[in-house]
Amino acid sequence: MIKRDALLKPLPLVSIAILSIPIFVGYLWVFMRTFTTRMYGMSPVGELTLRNWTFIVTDPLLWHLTLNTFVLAMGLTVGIVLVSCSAAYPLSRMSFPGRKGFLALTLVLHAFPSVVLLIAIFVVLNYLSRVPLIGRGLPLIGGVGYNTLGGVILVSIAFLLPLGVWLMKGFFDNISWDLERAALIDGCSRFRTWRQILVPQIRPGIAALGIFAFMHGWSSFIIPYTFMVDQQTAVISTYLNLLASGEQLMDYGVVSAVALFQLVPILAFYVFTQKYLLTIFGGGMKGGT
Amino acid sequence: MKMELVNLSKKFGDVYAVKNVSLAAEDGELVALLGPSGCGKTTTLLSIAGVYRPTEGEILFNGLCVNKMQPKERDIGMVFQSYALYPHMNAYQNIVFSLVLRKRPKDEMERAAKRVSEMLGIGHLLKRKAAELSGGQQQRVALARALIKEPKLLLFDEPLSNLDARLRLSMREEIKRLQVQLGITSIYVTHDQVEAMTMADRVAVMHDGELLAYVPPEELHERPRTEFIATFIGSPSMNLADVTVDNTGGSAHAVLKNGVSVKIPKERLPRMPQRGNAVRLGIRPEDVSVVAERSADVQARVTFVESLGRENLVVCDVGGQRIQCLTGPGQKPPLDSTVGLKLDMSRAHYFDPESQVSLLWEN
Amino acid sequence: MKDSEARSGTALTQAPQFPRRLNTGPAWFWFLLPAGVITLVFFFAPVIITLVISATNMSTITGLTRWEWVGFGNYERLLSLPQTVRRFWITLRYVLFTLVFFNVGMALLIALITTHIPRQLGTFFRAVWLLPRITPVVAYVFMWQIMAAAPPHGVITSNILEPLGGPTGNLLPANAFLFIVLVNGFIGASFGMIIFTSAIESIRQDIMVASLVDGASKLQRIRYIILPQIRWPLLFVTTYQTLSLLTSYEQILVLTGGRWGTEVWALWAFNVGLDDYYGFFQYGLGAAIAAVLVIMGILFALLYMRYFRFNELLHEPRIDVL
Ligand SMILES: Nc1ncnc2c1ncn2[C@@H]1O[C@H](COP(=O)(O)OP(=O)(O)O)[C@@H](O)[C@H]1O
Ligand SMILES: [Mg+2]
Repeated sequence: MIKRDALLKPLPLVSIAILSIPIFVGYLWVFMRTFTTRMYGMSPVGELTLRNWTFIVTDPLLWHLTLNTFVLAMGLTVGIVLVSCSAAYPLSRMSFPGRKGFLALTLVLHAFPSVVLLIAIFVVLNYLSRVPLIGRGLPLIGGVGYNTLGGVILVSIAFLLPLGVWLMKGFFDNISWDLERAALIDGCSRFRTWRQILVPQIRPGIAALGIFAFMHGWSSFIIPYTFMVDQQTAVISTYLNLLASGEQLMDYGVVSAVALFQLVPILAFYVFTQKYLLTIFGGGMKGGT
Repeated sequence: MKMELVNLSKKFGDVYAVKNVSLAAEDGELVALLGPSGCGKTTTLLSIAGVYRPTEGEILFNGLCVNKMQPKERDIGMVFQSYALYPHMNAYQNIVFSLVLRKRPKDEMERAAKRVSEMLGIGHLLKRKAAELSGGQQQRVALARALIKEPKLLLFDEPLSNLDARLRLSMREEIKRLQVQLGITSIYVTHDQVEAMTMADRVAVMHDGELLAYVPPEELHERPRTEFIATFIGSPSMNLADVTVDNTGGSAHAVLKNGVSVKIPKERLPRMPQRGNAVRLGIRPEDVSVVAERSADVQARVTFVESLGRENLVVCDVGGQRIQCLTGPGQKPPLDSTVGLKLDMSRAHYFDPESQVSLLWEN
Repeated sequence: MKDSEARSGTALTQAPQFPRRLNTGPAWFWFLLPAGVITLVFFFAPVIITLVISATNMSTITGLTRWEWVGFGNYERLLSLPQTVRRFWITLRYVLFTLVFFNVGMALLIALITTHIPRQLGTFFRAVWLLPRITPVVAYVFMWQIMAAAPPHGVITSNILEPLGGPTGNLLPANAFLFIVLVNGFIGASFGMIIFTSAIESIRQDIMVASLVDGASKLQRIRYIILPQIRWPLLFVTTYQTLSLLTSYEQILVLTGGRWGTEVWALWAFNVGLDDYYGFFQYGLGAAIAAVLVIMGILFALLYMRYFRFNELLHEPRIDVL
């Protein structure tokens, strides 16, 4: 009896360690492969090398992709924070006709699987392309239509918006009413109260949403894949997909290095902001699975 | 500035939080809004501030209807129970925020801040953030923030209830001193009757959204217009007993349920209610004294004795009727003993058991 | 604006009429405008467009201008296509397996294990299981491709099967279905894991301790105390993840592109409408396939709203002005 208990005690730990093996293996393999010339399964058989890394970081294409990916991630971050903070404020703290409807809509959209709308959004972006000035030819983001980084950013903002608004509303809900009343009595307009008194109170929320959005934008694949024509020069994800799709002969070392290159900022963020992110994921993240 | 409420009502959904309240605060007056929690005091105050839009009625500042004015146009200062300091600003920035919004020149701001902060003794704290200040200090900063605008009307929403007892006492004096010195019309919300009685020029008693009385503090205690006010004001609260008034023969008597009767002095004889002669007798614990049995009005059995520090609270039973009285130090009858009680009937009150209005004082 | 601010100090005693600011419309309108426009353009319009173009023959041949109405033609075609039934069964199987074994099953298992091992280890393993979710999808899928690849790269083939003398080709084509379940499952498990963990941790400690004192074993406690307490989270995760699985296809797209019998319904719509190998995109037919999911999404979303007990979440504003 005692013996059986002693055997059972480490069972949970052992079983979760075994279940987690595929995750460890994947990361480990990619990491090791970037520093070797050849591997046999999990065992490095070639010599250690930095060749894979020097190869990709001296490739101007990678830096072009990095810039694009960064612009996409930053655009999404700034956009989602601004739009969510602005929309969440009246939804949390003003009375106006249709407020309840708006909130219900946010919640419905939060659960709604937006990826199934991509075909229709393709049509929308094509129309947007034809809008003079903003459709095409903006610096950096290209415009807001089809086959522009701006269009991809806009769609990404839209898909993340229900989550952002709902999250920010929660943060606004927790601010004391007296604080806002004091500001109004001191002479603020509602806009000024928002900008100067309330937004500073929800900085943790903004940080959480911002970090989440950045990671989301940095990793995003399906939207740039669908709406950018040249996969090779779009973003890191699409380039990596092209490399790894196996249709050309692939250099596993280079592919691994690009993959790890994309992963590093994500992991760095993850290590430092786990708590924030857990609240967001727990609050009902969708997409993926 | 004179502030008037005319038939002010405020509904939330279908319920009235404030119902048909009318009162006027004269220039320089401090009016206390007194009532139990949830009776609509804050709602009234926030309507005056312009934060809530009245459902019905008008708010007049110097005779002018301000119903449609934004809070910032009303020229008011407000102090909150939670202090409501802006957490991301330091004390100085908190205090001058309203002047920044009005785009006043910097030197003027600094002078004004110096003036109010010295007045409140917080000159040395100006660089600190709200979280680095104690409760009392935060409240002083909040007060400075309200005063720097030189408002025409000051609103206080239970400003002292988050402070400890000693601090409360000194802040009470200070607020009153400043208010008198600056002569700013003030509305002071509190659920603490001592605060209301000691600070206010007039007290407005609210209950369930309605204004029950609006009189100077002494009158509230001495001449309560309703049974609710009589029991609400004073601690421990007034004893109530159902009696019948026997006015036959030369003198009037109040007869308790158990047959005991007490003489009513001529000059304090109540009006009779519409029907019958059953009234409710009210007498404050301080007007009941424990005396030797032969000079007593009634005999009572002691059921509970509690020391209140300086005085003792003695709870007695008079033939099923509970009566509380306050006795001096050292006068502490043993439990279950029989004592004599003397009721000072010249200070008794009478209420109509149905309408609960006073039968002594005109409404 | 400036005027009213400058005068407000004296306005009360002097002016019987108060300076009003220029009427720029209600503040809430401006605050909501950006979100409103985005919602209109990227949610409302697309839902309607999906339904509308599903009634046309729009494709790369017709372009966005020269298409014609076909009524229910696309839907009729769907019903007559032999693929339709196959796609339906693939989708059903995929959702069911992933849901049962990973999004709920594995999630629950991990939540239970990580709350029964030392705290720091528990936190560590939960962090590990969240990795697949935060890893960029292409890099993540690449790791699974490595797992399945033929020697010398493939981990399973080189390190396990070859020494045992088993088959050594790329494992993916023959086991594609298993792999899409694994790839999605390892991501999907973390959602339920988070929800279940916080539900378990919020069970009152006195009940948890008391049950052990009463003589229950840890397993009995799981059965009689913990599981009944997390009924609602279980139901929530199940419904929520059903919808997610039905409509997500990103990982499958990267891993197989829909080959080897892994084209689930949502991916089918995407492939037909936007990702045909030969560049022949049938927007109309794709939209018809997607429309099925759009309708389902709306129904599920409404259901989901009830879970949230929407009205309880609604706080009335406590300021009236503006
Ligand atoms: N913004 C509001 N929305 C709905 N009900 C409210 C609101 N403010 C106050 N109430 C309700 O109105 C009543 C009076 O509240 P309040 O004025 O805060 O009372 P007091 O300040 O006297 O404690 C209470 O029942 C309260 O719940
Ligand atoms: Mg209150």
